[in-house]
Amino acid sequence: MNQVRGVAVRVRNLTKSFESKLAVTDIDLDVNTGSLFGLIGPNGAGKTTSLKMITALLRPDAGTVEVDGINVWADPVAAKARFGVLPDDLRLFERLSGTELLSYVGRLRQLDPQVITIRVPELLQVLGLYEDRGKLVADYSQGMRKKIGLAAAMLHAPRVLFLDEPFESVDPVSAHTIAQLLQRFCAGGGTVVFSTHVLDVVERLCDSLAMINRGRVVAQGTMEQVRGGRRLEEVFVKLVGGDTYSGASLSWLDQAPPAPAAPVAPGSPLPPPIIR
Amino acid sequence: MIATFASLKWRLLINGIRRRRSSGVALAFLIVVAGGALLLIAPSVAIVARTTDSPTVYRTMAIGTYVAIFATWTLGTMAVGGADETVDPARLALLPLTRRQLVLGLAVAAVIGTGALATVIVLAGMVVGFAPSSVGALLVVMAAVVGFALAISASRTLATLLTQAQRSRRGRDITVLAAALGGAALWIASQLVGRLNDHATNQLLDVLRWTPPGFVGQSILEAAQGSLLSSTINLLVAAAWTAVFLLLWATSAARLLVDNESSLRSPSKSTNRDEAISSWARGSEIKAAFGKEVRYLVRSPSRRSVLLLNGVMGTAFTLLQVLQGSNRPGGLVLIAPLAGLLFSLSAIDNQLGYDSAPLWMEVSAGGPRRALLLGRSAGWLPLVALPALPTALVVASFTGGWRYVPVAVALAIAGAGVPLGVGTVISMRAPFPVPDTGKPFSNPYANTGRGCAVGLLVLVALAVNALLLAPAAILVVAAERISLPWLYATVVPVALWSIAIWWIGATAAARFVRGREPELLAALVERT
Repeated sequence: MNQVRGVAVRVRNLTKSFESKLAVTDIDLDVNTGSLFGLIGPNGAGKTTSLKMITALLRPDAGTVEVDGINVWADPVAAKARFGVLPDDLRLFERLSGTELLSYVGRLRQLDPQVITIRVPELLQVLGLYEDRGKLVADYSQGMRKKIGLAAAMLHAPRVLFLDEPFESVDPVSAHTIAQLLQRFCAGGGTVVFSTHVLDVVERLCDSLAMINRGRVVAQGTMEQVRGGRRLEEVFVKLVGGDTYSGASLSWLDQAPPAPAAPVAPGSPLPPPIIR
Repeated sequence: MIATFASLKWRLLINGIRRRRSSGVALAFLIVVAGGALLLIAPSVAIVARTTDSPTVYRTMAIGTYVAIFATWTLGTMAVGGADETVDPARLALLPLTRRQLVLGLAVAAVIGTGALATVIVLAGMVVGFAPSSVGALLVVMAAVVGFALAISASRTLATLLTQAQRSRRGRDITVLAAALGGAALWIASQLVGRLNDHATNQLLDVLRWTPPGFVGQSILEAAQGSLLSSTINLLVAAAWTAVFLLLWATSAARLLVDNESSLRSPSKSTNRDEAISSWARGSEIKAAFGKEVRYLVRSPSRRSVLLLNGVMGTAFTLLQVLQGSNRPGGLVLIAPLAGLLFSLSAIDNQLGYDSAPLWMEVSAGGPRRALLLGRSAGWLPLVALPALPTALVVASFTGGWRYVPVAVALAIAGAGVPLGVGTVISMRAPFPVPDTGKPFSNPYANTGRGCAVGLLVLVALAVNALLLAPAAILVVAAERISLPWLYATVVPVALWSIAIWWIGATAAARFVRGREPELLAALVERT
């Protein structure tokens, strides 16, 4: 695992409520530089809300956030220059092509035009989008949208990446590529914080994690510390709870399937497969 | 199956009303007012048809009413196409339905609702107004039934075909564009219809009479006048049209059940022109934002619709004002720069509201800064300036003021900075999302609770613009009195003045938004 060089993300007492509902309560997080940090929790736990507040897209009711030593809410412009974001509800400029979108983001990030010209095709190539670079984002599949969003988040070579569900809707090959990309990013000194429902991914990629439930951190630490010698799924179910299915109900699903219209006699040869 | 579809449609209606319970008082008020107005229409139709001495009015009541009912149903379908589960057969694709069950069920669902109720009430008025005291009365009743069936079958055929088209982005784009053109044409027609004399009205009715709903109207007329054979023939033609629409509906609905996916997808292409524009846009943040906005103006149907509607309606409105006056000097061409202002304010005063969802990308990159705001607002320049060209040309053709055309266009471009600067400030201070409903005729501000706010903002913007444009206008009028070269010379000070306003507006807007970015994002979240 990467050598720890300090704290890249420090969150203290982060709190947010919507009307009377407390979405996030007193969250504290410490993410070490160079680590791949997983943020896991059930639906509605507060992961997306937390990530939005950490990335200055949603104003918290209380708490402080520091990214790479900069207070996000005191100096948001300086902080935003140091991180990249991939939100969950990925809304992109649909009427731009992949290349146009990345070029636009590059200019927004005030990158030199030469740098944009070099980085954009390279990112598109690595993420397998080069062939579709001229296609409008509106015509991209969900997986392609995730990848172009990731490319936009990485274009300015940030110090920290915040990714909300980066592996959702992504095919296995692309997921493998993204995982390699993130590991390469961390090996180069970058830090990744990502949320996901897929515990296998967290177990395979992350060196540390935090588990959120009902707006509170219920476990945090290195992978070994949180697991405590068990599988992550077991720990998750135990801490989060909510396992409502006992196996006793839905007995009507046990009916035998209807018999085929023309049963095949025992010993008769199988029909040849149809290959189109 | 019929009961199931009827129940589904009823449930959709009730749930739709429940969803809007937050504005319950307003809804109740609307129902009372709309219901009252509707109940007045039926007796009015009956009384006018019974008492009028004018053959033209009598004919208009018969043919015009049926054409209006038909147009309302078909255009209404375009507005809600795909949104009503009972209108869109593709939503039923997973259910084991035969074609007969499907069409029968959809037909039943179609006659349940406020639109159908309103139509029945108006048709009842028609029957009372036109039915003679003979066997012809039966023909009038049958014509009402056929007219109703014709409207429903045509609208549902259109809905089904549109649903197919709206499955793809390009199909939706084409639909929206076609609908925008249709809407603009209707608006112009509504402006002109009141100015038609008896002769012109009869000429129009002579054409409409051969349309499918025209046959129904003609059938009623003939029945009321005792020409039973002619009435029956017209009724049969209308019934044949209904059968054709029903057949088309059944065929297209069945096809939609197994063919939900559209093959209309944009090819992956990257032309040299695109590359050249991209390369140019990388030069600066202003260029990047301007390039993006221009691409959206070309590619986004909502933007194209705004551009198109603004151009057509601005030109038509200005022209109508010119035509109303008896004195038409050539200098009237100089009002052309205002043509782009009248109908564009709700758009340019809400620059972030269009396609607002990806704004987080700009906020995440530390924006929106002044350069970005200048580039964004520059993208709306065609909306403000372009209508001046057709307006100037058309007004010149009526007034003979051709020599004023170039300077009118130049002044439109030079002065555009004023509304754009004002619009940038208002866009930051009072932003609201324009829902991307994909429905061609939908009012983007409907049910957002902000329609009134939009109206007020436009009025305020109009007043501020008038104030800031007043010095330029005085200069232009004074120069026109002196000579044409002097008039051309005013373009420079007008441009300087408007650029200054634009710059100040963008600076003030950027300063205002700094530190308020999360609130800006929250204000632009679409409320569905």
